[in-house]
Amino acid sequence: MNGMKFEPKIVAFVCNWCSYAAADLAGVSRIQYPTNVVNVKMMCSGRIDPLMVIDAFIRGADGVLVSGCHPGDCHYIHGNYLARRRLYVLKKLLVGIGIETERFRIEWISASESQRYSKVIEDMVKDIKRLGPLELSHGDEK
Amino acid sequence: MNDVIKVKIEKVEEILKNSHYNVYIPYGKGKDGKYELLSEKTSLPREAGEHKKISLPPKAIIFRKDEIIFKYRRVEDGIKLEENEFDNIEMIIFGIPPCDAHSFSVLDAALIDDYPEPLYFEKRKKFGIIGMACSRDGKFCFCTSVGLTPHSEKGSDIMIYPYGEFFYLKKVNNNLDKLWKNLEGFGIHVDDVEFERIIKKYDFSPNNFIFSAEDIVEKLNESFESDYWKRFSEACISCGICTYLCPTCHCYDIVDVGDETGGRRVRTWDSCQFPEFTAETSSYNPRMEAYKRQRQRVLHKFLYFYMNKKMFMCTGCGRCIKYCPVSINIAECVMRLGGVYEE
Amino acid sequence: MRDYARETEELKRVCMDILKDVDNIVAWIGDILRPYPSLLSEDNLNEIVWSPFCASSTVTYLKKHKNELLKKNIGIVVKDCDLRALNVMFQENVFDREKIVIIGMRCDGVANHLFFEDVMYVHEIKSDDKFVYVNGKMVEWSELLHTCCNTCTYSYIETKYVIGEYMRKKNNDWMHLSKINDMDYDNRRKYFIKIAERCIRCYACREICPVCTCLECAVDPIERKISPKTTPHQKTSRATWIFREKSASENIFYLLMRAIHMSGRCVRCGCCERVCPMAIPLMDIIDIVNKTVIEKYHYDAGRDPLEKPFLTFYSEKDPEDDMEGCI
Repeated sequence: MNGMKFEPKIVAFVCNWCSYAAADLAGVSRIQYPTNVVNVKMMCSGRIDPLMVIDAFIRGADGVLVSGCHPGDCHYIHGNYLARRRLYVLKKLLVGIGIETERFRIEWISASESQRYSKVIEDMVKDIKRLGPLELSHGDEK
Repeated sequence: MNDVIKVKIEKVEEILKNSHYNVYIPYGKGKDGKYELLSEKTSLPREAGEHKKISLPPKAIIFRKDEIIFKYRRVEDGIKLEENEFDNIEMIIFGIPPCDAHSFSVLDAALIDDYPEPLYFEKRKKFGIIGMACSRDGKFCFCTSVGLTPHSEKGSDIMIYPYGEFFYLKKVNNNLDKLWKNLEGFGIHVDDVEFERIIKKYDFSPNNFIFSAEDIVEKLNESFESDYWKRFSEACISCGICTYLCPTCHCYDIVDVGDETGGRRVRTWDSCQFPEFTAETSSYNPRMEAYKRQRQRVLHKFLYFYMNKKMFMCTGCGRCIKYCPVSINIAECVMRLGGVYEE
Repeated sequence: MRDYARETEELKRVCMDILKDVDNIVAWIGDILRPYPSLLSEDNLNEIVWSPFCASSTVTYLKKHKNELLKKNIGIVVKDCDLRALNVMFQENVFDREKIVIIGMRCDGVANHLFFEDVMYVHEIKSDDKFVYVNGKMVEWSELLHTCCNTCTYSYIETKYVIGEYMRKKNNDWMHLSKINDMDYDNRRKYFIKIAERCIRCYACREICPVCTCLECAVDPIERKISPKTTPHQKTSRATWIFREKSASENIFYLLMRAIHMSGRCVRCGCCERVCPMAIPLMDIIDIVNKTVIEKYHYDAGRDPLEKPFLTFYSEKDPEDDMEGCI
């Protein structure tokens, strides 16, 4: 482990209509951004269950990004409003138990904002590299 | 001739601290307690009793809530299996009252006698029990109703009777022979007369739930269809507290934890009070209602286990009554069904 | 001075009154130091108990026996927090408001029965704004109260039938969370992982909670929901979030899941922390959510039975800042 630098594992839950399209556009436009992220496509940010975020953290993710349409522009009208409420409450809970604010990011990225998407990923990887691995359940061995 | 010696308390502590044993002591009080290792930072308990018992029973040391059976890992050319390796560290539990010490005899009868459960057996072989006579009972204790007393040596390898600045130690069997010889070197032999005087301090009986479990076995055998079970269990919320805190309960589940890259098979605590304990693959569940589960718990402890092993699967420690969220009382139940209140 | 014997007699009178409209009443019976909820009718009304030790919620009892009990009208005796839990049940259409007759007991707090472990028989309980008197023995409320009762703010029972009077001043400044606020992230993680390793997953906190009503909990194995018609393929493709192992990672999921599922529903009755056999400070975790919901979203769970549940609506002005690590 000594020679290897820490590479964070990030899970990104992205909504199909806006944020996934942005990620797609970033790929098509050949924008370079770190490869540490795994995208999980949901139809809407409102589909994202807080348990999914918690699950990601306990199964080894060092950071989680949740991204949806801008509030007011949700493809399903209300989805992202409801998501915003429950995800910010979840964020407070995670902060309270010791998961730093930089590890769980909630963003609103529209379909054309591919640059923003890649910048968000870059910033997250930089921040989490500085913070180090999460190791939430180091008591277990796999 | 009694094999009884008296040793100064500090000397016993010194001997145990310098020995090769991992000595566990109950540390803390009630729900905040845990079993801690004896070290420079901790010291031996000077007394045993309700005031020193912790909510977690001592079975948690060698019958742990999770025990790995084997691990597996995907490697280049297949799967690699690793059986759990046991260390050679010898353990001792020190200072538990007779209700907790005897629980190990019950666990042995269940988990070793007919066919040894390998993980428990490995740990039990290296586990010594130093019990301590109980100086204070609680209002939920009823050890005398199930064949024990506050000074009973059943289940202990060495039994301690604290008195003044001495621990009076009695050798009950040969399991901790080497330790005994070590202690004997620093002890003074005690004759029967003095020992009788010491035991008097511990010759009391808890004043609650007085019955004789042996005498009511017959009545329990006829109680299966009684209406009382529904009344007894109506407040039950089917959590696992009574079974997890019981020093003799030993039900477990075997689960595979992991994914396609690796994982482990684990023996983990289970409780007959969870509804899915008896859920069958067909989706039928014979114990869907709480009163059926409570009935099975009581009859298992006071009837079926007695019929098979001639001992009760209950030591009268009172934890299930004390910590039950809705005050369900197994001793009251057994007394009522056994007709004790009608006498 | 509150005399609980007198209040119990008054409660019996009110119950006799109500029994003209309902067949049964859910109330506490049993030992004065350890009462438990049960079903009362005219025959056994004399067994009813009311004291500062009435801990377990009657709403939990009603929830567990909902199917048989709610076929007809039923009465229920509730304290402040139980009434709020009942309101949450009304908001979520779990219980039908028309069928339930409520008797409100003005509660000054629930005392810890283990404090009086050495008392075998109680013949008198009284209390005033500072003390509880058991058999004449005087103990300060602050020594007996649980975290949630110590930081309770609810003193507004105004149901049609109401008994007792509030004497103790109630106030909550969330000071018990300051120890978490003062820790840095590393220490918070260590604190939380230590809690998670201690948990034995007895599920008492979930079962005793008056608002935990899911027929199929997120962490239970699938056995609860299969029927003879479920195909083998369906059985094997049902995902479970966590394993049955009681390791730190699975316990972390369980504890966080309970906290997040309580957002806007937890009524701060404290039953979960009170029944935990391992003395896990559950309210330290759940109160992080409660404080956020109350202070940032200005939502008070269970205050009004006609209000919408917290997570089912939104405001365009919902806050998005996170105050950088403060809770």
